[in-house]
Formats: sequence, structure tokens, C-alpha cells
Amino acid sequence: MDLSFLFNDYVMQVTTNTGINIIMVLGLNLITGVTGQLSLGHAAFMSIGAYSSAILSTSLGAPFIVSLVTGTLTGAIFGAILGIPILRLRGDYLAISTLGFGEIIRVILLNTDLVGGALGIYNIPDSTNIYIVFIAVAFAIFFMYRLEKSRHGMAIKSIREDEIASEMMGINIARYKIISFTIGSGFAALGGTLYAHFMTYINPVDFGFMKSIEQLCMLVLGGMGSIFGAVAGTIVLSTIPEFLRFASEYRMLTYGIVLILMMIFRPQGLFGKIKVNV
Amino acid sequence: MANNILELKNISMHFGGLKAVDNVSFNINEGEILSLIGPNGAGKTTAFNVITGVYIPTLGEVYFKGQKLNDIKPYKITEMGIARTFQNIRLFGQLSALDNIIIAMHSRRKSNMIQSIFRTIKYKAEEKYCIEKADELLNYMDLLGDRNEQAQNLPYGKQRKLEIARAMATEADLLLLDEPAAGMNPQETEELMEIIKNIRKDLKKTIFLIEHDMKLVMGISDRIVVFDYGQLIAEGTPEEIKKNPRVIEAYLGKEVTNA
Amino acid sequence: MLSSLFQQFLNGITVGSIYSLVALGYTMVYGIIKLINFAHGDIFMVGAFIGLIISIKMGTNFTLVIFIAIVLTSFIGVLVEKIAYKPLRNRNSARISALISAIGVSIFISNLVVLINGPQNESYPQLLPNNILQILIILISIGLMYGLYYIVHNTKVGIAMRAVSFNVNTARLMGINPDMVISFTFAIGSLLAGAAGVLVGTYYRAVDPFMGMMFGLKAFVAAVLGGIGSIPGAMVGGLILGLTEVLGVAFVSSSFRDAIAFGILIIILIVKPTGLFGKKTKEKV
Repeated sequence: MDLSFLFNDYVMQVTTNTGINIIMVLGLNLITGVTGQLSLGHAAFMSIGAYSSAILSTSLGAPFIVSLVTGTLTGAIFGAILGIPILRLRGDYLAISTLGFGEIIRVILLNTDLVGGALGIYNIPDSTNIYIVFIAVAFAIFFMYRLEKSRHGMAIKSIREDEIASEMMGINIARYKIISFTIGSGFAALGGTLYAHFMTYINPVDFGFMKSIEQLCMLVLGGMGSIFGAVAGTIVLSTIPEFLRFASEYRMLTYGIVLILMMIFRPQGLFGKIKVNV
Repeated sequence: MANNILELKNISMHFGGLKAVDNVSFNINEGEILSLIGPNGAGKTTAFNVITGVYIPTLGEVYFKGQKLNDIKPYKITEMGIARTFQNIRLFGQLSALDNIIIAMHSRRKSNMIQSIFRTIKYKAEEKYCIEKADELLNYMDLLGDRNEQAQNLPYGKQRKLEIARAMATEADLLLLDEPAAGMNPQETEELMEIIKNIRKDLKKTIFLIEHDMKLVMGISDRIVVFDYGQLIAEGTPEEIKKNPRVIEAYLGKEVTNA
Repeated sequence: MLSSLFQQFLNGITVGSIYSLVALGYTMVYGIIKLINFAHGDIFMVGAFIGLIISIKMGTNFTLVIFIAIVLTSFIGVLVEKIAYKPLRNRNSARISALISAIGVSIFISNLVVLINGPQNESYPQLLPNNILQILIILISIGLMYGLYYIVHNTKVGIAMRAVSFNVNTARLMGINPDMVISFTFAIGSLLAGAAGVLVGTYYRAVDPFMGMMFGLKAFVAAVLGGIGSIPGAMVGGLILGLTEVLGVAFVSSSFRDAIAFGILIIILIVKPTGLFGKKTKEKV
């Protein structure tokens, strides 16, 4: 069935971009909203996925599916490796070290000629299309929903609620924090691979601190700890700027004001019910 | 002679210069209700923290069913069969009463991540079994009506009971209850005494509790140990403890006049 | 070689002393309300821009420029606190809410400057004599830090600050008005950041609306390095960071400049999360 007649190119682009954001924000929701571990470096894992898959597709000419899977797994593996030392930290300290790691990865990409340095990678095949993104979004939502309901998801939630009580109820909190961080990073990387093969051009600037903050804002706006909230918040923040194009110079200004007002008047987000104490 | 289930051997817990627990030894016998009493700051909760692995004792050893606990992680200790409640209730506040219980069954469940995502037959069976068992426990505690209520919205007395139910859901053989009657009214305390007695009788659990309510302590304990300034000053049946001069002194202060 | 090493050392101390000034604001605010004030770097940037505008409009009198800059930034700092943080505190919000509110303020301020002045780099006038520029920057920084140290340790409001950071409720019972103390803390912190902004402009001779982000993050690293909440820690942390960065760039590689600060951050957090001067706190069970 060909649905493309429903979409003109512009709408299609915005929709694809929104879908990619949803996948990544769902990953962030697992780490921050469900596990209660504030991450300020989510975009770094997006960059790992984007770069590793782009290299596979361009230099090695790998088929898209291979790049996609490898990119996702590479992001997840990085998540696990970085998660092991830093997830022992709590609250602000954890948040700052995720920020630190995010910046370090960006600077490394910027200074590695093998991945194009500041120029980035060009001519990535435009393999991402709206159908693939739809499937990936559906998979992400299905996966997160089932995970949250399972005993593993319950264990993860209990860490957010009370780490000490959680451990005292027989839950290996160190292990589950790493599992959550690994899966969340994997979804960021999946989004990154789709992003790279959608834009066909990537460079380190795309994956800076502001990108991580943007993803966090989508999550917070929709409601942390809620899958529906994560999806809705992402849709709102990915599409509203498109409607505000005529006033693009006020866009970021409005963004800042919205964040402040939300935190004052509706800190649990538009659709959230949970207070995440980090 | 009853078997001892837990054994503390010359336990000391120091924080800098403070000796919160100082060279303490005692046993808990299988199937008994043992109470730990003492003035505030006597080191009672510290003893719980040492047993459950929150603290590693500065000196001495803890044995559970003959196995040394000193270097074992708290979650493993729970798997081995010790579960606790907290002085300042630590429920998973934003989760339902039912979920609180189900989380505590974690270490008894086997479904892996893949099975959970795809909901295999095995997973569904395990899930069903857990919910049934959790409901049974809630019913036992008379909390079935609050099953879907967020734990933080329950009244205080019910929160205390839910915490006990949650500890029981780990299938522990030894339950440590830290001031279970704190903040309860006399009626609720009465009811709690019945519950604790029944848990021991019906479910064959061993119970070790910290409590300030002397009516409760004297009413249900088989034996009592008394702490003062981190030291064990007395050990015995409620009758013996009531008459023990050192205990009276710890609670009421030393008499000024010399005989 | 030796004179070059001395020059690098001087560069390191110069940058480091400015890091210290900004780090102090982070550490004081964190010490008192446990908030990473993400907007602090932008206050620093605003200080630099105010300095720029004043020196264009009113001439390059350094004393006048820095005085007006610090007065205005301390006012802006207090305003930010009243608008974006105080309502959250009153509602007893989760700490992540305050953090995100701070991020919102940061985005707002930097884009407001873009809206007013455009996104481009601006060159900065020469406000201090070139030959003794570094010495002057270091001396001014030391002077400001001494002033802060004096206030915190010898004045009534300084004692009140320490009391509030120790325990808000007890301080309130002692008759201290925490809101006033918090405002004062923001005023002092923002004042130091404003001064740092003018000094950075004077030193590098260029400013841009997004300079606050990276400089602020690094100053925050300095605060963590010294032990967040500790005033001497922020001073020492800034110097260590400045020296490491400058020496790293001079003798290892210039392209990894920004990674050095964050590398230090990760190492310190993993090895000694409380920093050099921080106190350890443990949750009570």
C-alpha cells in the first residue's frame, strides 16, 4: 500500500524527523523518567549511532539494515561501557558526568580525521524513509511498554522511587541501572542511525549539549515516566517550531520561556503523573 | 534447643569516633519473636543496617543460617532470606500497593528480558502466579481494597502494614521490622500485634523487631535484647527484662541516692 | 623554554582566576539551594556585553565599565532567582524542575542577546594597558575573591549565608530570612560573574552571545573539582583548571582543549566525587 500520496515532501520530512525524535526521547524516558537517572548527554549516543552507521554505509558500503543494527548496538555498547563507572554517581553528579562524556565524545569526533573532523560525513545514502521510521517508532513504543510492565521494568521503576528500599527488596540496582542506560542509549543510537540516513550529512555540531537539552525538554514537556507523554511532548516540540517559522527569531526565546513556565505551573509535564526526584 | 537462624558475633560499628554498636553478640532462634529495645540513639537501627548489609561492620561477624554475611551485597542478603521494613517508611510511593508487593517478588522470578518483551507462555504463567500471590498477601494484611491505590496515598497505618507485606513477599524467613507500631493508634497497634503473631504462627517466619511501644514488646516477644549506648546491656524473657536493674537504669536514669 | 613555560604559567593563572570568579557563583548557589544554576554562564556573558555597550556609549574607562556591569548583572541575577527559581522552591518542586527552569533561563538570556545584538562575534575594546593586562586581571580577581571571603566570614549576612546553607529550617528559627539570604547569594554570585565577563572580554578582546555556555560549564567543572559548595574549593578549582587547560594546549594538543576540562571532571567524579574540599554526605537509612 502506497501512503505517500497523503504527504507532500515537506510534511513527510517533518513527520520523519518527529518519528526519529520520538525513538530517542523514548530512550531518554527509560533512563530519566523511569529509572530516575538524569542524563544530560543523550545526544552523544545518538552521535555514536549516526557515525558508526554512516561509516559502515559510506566507507564499507554495507546494506542499510546492517548499518542500522550495528549502529544501534554500538550505541548500546557505549552506553554500557560509560554507564558502568558513572552510574555509581547520584543525582547532580551523574547528570554532570553524562554532560561531560557527551562533550568529550563530541570533541573527539571533531578532532578525528577518520570521521571527517569538523566537516563530518557526506553522501550517506538516504535509506531512511517514512515507513522504516514508522516501524521503528512502533517497535520502540511496543518494546518500552512491555519492558515497563515486566518484572525488569518494575525493578527499574522501584529504583526511581527509592534506591535503598529497592536494593533491600532484592533488586541488584547497579545492574538494572546499567541495563536501563544501555537500552536507552541503544534507542538514542537507533534514532542516530535513522537521522544520519535521513539527513545524508552529519557533523559534530548536530550532537552537542543543546541537542541533549532539546530531547530532555521534549520529555519534560510531555511528562517524564510516561510513554504517551514522551511521544506527545516530542510531537509538540518537533512540529510547533514548523508552525512558528514566520517568527523564527523568537523561536528559541519562546522555547526558554515555555520551559520556565512549565516548571512553575506544570512540572509533571502535559501528560505526566509522576514526580521524578533527582 | 532451638536452631539459631541469625548470629551476631562481637559486632562493632564505628563512625569516626562514634561507636554506634560496640562489641555486641546475640542470636536469633528460628521461629521466635525477638525484640530489640533501648533508648533513642542506642544503635538499634544500626544493628539492622549491619544485618541487612547497608553497613559493613567495623569488627565482628554476622552469620545467617551458618553463612557469613559480612561481604555480601544487600540485595543478595535479601535473596538469601532476610527482609526488612524501615523506621521512616520507604515504600515505592508513586506505585500501587500491588506493584509494591510484586517488585518484592523480583528475586523469586525467572522470566528474562526477551520472554518479558514477547510475553511467552512461561512469562504469562509467572505473571499470573505473582498477581495471585500478591493479592493473597494483600488480603492477609486486609489491604486488598487498596490494591490499586498509590502507596503514598494510603493512611499511615496501612503504609506500615504494606511495608510488612512487601517484606514478606520476598519470601524471607527472617523479617526485621523497624518500629512497626510507630505512629499507630492503640487500636491499630493491637491489630498489628495480632498480625505479627499470626505471621509467625501461620507462615513460620522468624521475627526480629525494634519497638518503643512496651505493651507490644512485652505482649508478643519470646525474648528481648536491650541496647544502651551501642552496648548490649541485657538479654532475656520479657519477665526478666522488666526486673533487670540495668534496663531500668538505662530507661529511667541512675538513682541519685546511694543505699 | 623557561620563559615560555613562565608565560604559559601566567596564562594559566589568568584564565584560572576568571574561572574561579565564575565558579564561585555556581558553588555558592549550589551550597545554599542545591541547584546547578545553568543560567550562571549566561549572566557572565551578559556582563561582558554590558561592558561592551558601556565602553562604546560612555568611553573606555575600565572602572566605570566594570562597576556598571557588576551592578546590572547582580540585579539580573536576583531577578532570575525571583522569577524562575523562587516559585519552584515555594512549591517544593523536584530538583530536576529547578534545573530545567535554569536551562530555560539560559536559553532565554542567550537568545535575547541574539535578538538585541545579533548572533555575531563582537570585538572588545582595550580597557586595560596591554603590557600588564594579565597581572591586572589576576589582581582584580584576587581582590574580588578577598572581598567575598571577607563578606562570608566577617559580616552578619555572610554568617546568615553559611547558616542557611547548613540548614534552612534551623536558620529560619534563628530569625534569618532565607529568601533574603538566597537573593543576596545570587546578587554576589552574579556580580562576580559580571566582573568575570568584562575581564574575559578585555583579555580575549572578543565576545559572543553563546560564550556563556562553554565557559560556564567549565567554571562549573572547576567548582566540582574544588568540591561543590566550598568557596576555597571554587577558587583552587578554577586555578587548577586554568593551568591544566593552558598547559595541555601548549604542550599536548590544542584541539582537545574542551575535552581536557571534561576529562578532569569525569576523573574527579569517579575517584573523589566530593572534590578536593567537599564534605561527604550519606543518606540516612
